[in-house]
Amino acid sequence: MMSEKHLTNEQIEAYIEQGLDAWAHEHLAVCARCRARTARAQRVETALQTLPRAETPRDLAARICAVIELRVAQEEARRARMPLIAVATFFSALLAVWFGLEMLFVLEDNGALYFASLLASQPELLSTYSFDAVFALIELLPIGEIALTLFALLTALILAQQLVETARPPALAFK
Amino acid sequence: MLPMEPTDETLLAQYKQGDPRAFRALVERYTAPLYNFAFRLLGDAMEAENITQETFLRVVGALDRIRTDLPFKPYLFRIALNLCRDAGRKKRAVSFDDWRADSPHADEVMLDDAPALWEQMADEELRAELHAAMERLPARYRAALTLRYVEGFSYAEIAQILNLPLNTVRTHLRRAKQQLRTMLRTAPPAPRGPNDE
Repeated sequence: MMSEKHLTNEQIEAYIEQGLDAWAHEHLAVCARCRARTARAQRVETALQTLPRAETPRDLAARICAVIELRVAQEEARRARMPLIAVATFFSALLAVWFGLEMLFVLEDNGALYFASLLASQPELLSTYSFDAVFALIELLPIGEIALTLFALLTALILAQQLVETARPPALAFK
Repeated sequence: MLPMEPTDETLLAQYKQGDPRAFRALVERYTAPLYNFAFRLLGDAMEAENITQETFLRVVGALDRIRTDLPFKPYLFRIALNLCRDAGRKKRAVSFDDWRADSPHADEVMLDDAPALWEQMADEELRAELHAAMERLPARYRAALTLRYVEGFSYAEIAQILNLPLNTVRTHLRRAKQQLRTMLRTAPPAPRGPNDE
């Protein structure tokens, strides 16, 4: 006897995928309408199963391999560079401290620090000095030590920046 | 007898141990599937190339964290899907916002009762029409259909890739096919893209 209830879309999908439902099987045997619907769904299912892939550019895999190998080589070089940059940063910072301290000792020895603190507390004193005296004081500044300190400091900063960039893995996005 | 192909997980483990040929084999194995997946989702050949490449780069970047005791293929497609979502958001042409959304009554109508024009089509023609119709489907349905029918993933794997419950994946696939059949019945053929077969 033909069942009065037709198969739902869900039952048809399940029947196509699993094909095990005895009730659906019996119903299809006697119901032309559901048989036609199932046949249509089956045809779409078959067409979907044989859908072709989009055509891939022929050299895409080779290009990807090349990019990956380049990135890996860059990454290895980055890792190899890191200890060297870290040591160089450390020694540059050490040199900057060393030259800085030396500069401070010289400034202390020749009285420039004392004079600077005096001027800071009493700026009106400056007007009582002649230009020659001021120039003589400037000549007392340890230019060599100051230059070396600044140079070492700059080197340490640049190396520290390099170290941070090297320690941070590069963004993997590419364009 | 042909030698057995190494599994993805074996290749990945070999690459982790320092064999670059193993990763090359993985790239060759998955470039076409990933490209196809991205192309079907975004409809843009250049973007699909970028996403395919970026997917592998992400794998290399996360190599230390990837577990070789878990299936690699769903993981790979999940990365690609996330990249497609990001690209879709940037382009704004492909919406991934309604990923989980579905009209609760979308499939309650009984379809396919009357014979349709597509029934007269040859298989080749029907595939071309299906391809064009797929481009008009929401991204969530296109993703599910491509993963299921072109890449042959199981429902469980698709659920894992799309990060959706298994039943939602079943619903997506069922509704996607119903929408396809409706489109085949009602819509005029869409113009083809340059990469269409």
